[in-house]
Amino acid sequence: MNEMEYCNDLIVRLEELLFHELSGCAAWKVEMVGVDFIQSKEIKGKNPDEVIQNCIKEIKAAGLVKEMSYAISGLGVKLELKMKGCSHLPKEIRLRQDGVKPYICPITNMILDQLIEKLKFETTYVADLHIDEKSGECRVWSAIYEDENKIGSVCNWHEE
Amino acid sequence: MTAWYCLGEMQERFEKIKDPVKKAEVLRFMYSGEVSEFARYAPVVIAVIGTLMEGSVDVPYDLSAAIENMLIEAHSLGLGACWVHGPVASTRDAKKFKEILKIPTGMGEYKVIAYVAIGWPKEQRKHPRPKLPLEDLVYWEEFGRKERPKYE
Repeated sequence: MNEMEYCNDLIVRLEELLFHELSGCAAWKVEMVGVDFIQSKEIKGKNPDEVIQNCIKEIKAAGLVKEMSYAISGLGVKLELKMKGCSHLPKEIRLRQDGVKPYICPITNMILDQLIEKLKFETTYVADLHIDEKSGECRVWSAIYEDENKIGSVCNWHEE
Repeated sequence: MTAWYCLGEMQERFEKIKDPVKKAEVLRFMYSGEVSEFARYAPVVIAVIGTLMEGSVDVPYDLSAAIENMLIEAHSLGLGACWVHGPVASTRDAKKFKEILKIPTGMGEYKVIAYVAIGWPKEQRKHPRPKLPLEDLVYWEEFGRKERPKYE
């Protein structure tokens, strides 16, 4: 049995069910999906760059994603992750085929979790996922707020 | 909740505001969460929670109906009341909220669905909110059928 395939099948069904129950609000409820893996690693870092880079090392070492990069912009509140060869990509493709826009990214959740757990960020959220089935690439945008003063920061989401 | 605004949808919503200063202020207000800050000054805030331990599948619906009754009763008494969902919408925030109130934080115990802020409104609504025409909301016999069938 292909365990990842089985795992993705389970997530697809659960993601669909939760979307059906909560529609757009479902995205607010799933931030803990995926965090157990990264919490089992001893991620260290004194700033966002160090924490994110160390998370990426563990994620790649485990074979969850083949290629991964990140950028922080937009007054420091916008995190963009680019991934290629993510083991959850089949889940995203199947969800879209079923008419549900994917909203759970376990890989992004791992990084956001560690920004909160290790650097005490005030709050973080996955804001949007773009999946390119042909190239096998994902781009995920997240809002990351270091402290409550940052929460009022406004950046142009798609341009900066 | 702030990410909801970061999707760009909120920026598109206020695209028609041409004055850049005014637009920046509106966006900052929406992004910062100040939009629901009024609850901080409300004399009464009711946390609405339900038990998940008694086998009911209807907790969100029951709690929502209870909130609606609270709002109607408050308004009938001349008070202002508002259903505030944002601060407990995410799992982490809901957990924090439960910790503050010493509600057991296990996922299988209690669901906190929202809180209701009650106070004296600063102003009265001057006009009713626009409503969609009924024919856009009601279908007859089957989904999408707008014409009411004639029965013999």
